[in-house]
Amino acid sequence: MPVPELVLIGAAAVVGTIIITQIESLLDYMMTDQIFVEGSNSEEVRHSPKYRLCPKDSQYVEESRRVLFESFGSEKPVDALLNMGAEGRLVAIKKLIEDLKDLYDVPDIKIELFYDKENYRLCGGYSKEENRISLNLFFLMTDNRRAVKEVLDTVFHEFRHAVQWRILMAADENGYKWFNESDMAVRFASGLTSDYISFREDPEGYYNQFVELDAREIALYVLEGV
Amino acid sequence: MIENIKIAVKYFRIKNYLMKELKYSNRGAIRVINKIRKMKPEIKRAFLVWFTTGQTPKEPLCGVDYRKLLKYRDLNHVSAFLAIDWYARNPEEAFNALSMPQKDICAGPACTSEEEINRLLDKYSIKREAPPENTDDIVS
Repeated sequence: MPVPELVLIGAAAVVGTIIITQIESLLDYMMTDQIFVEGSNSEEVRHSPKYRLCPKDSQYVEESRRVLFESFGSEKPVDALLNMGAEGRLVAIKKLIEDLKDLYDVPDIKIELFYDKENYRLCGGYSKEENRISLNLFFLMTDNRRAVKEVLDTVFHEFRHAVQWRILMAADENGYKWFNESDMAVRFASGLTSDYISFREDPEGYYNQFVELDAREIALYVLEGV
Repeated sequence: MIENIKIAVKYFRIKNYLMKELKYSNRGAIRVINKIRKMKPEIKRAFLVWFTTGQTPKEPLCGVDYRKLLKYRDLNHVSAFLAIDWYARNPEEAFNALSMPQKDICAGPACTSEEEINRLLDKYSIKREAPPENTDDIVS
C-alpha cells in the first residue's frame, strides 16, 4: 500500500477516535442527571421527621420570612430575583444579608461574596474561627429558578450556622435574642467542634448531624412557598 | 460473613488509607470502617474489589451509577460506597442529599453576558474563586 494512503488511513483513525470520544463526552454530559437508575426528579424536599421546631425557632422562622418578603415587595422572592437584571440581583442579595445581620443580631459577621464557576458545588460556608459567611454567586447569575432558590437557601442555611455558633457562645449568658432551649446549645456543640463531619467524608453522617439538620430544616421552613 | 473477615484482615490497611491518603481523623476513620462493616453484602463486596484491585463498579450498584456519583458529587471512593449504601437503605433521604445542585442540571443559562458579570465583579470587588477551606473550621 502506498505511503500516502497509509497516512490517510491513520489520520482517519485518529479523527474517528476523536469523534467517538466527543460523542461519548456529549452523551455523558446529557446523562449527568442520572446518577440514580431510578429516582424522582421532583424538586420537592420534605421536612425531616427527625426535626421539630421549638417555639423560639418558630418565631425565628416567622421573622426571617417577614424580612425576606419585605426585601422583595409584593412579588415572591424567587420570582422577584428572576425578574431583575444581574446588578439588581446582586444589590438585592446584599441588602437581604444586611437585614438578616440585624435580625439575627450578628453585626460583626463578615460576608465574603465570590463567583466561582469551577467550584460550583460549593454554594457557601460558615467559618466560626473567622465568623465569616462565604457565598458563591454563580447560581444567582442564572435564569434557573431552582438555582436562584438555592442561593436563598444557602443564605438562610449559613446564617443559621452563624446563629448556632452565637447560641453556643451565649450558652452561659442567656442574653442572646435567639437563644433557645438549653439542650440545643449542647446539641450544636458536638457538631460545631471537632466532631463535625464533612459531606466528602461521609455524606450520611454529614446530612444527619444535628447542626446540619437544624440549618437545613430552618432554611426549608423559611423558604416554604417562595 | 466472609466480607467481614476480609475487612477485619485489612482493617489496618483500610484505616491507614483513610487517615494517610484521605486525611480522615482517627475517630472519623473508625466510624467509617464500622459503617463499611454494616454495608449491604453486594456493596461491601464491591468495596473490597475496589480496595484490593482498584476496579470500580461498571454497572449500577443498588440503583446508583458509581462512576457518575464520583464524578458529579464531591466524594472520594470510600464515601461514594458509603453513599450507595445509604441510598440502598434509605433511598428518599439519600436521594435528597445527593441530588443537591449540579452545574449541568441546575445552573442553566446565565442571566447576562460574561462581560457584564466581570464588570459587576470588579465594581463590587467580588473575588473569582472560593476562599481557602480550613476543614477543621468550615461548616457548609
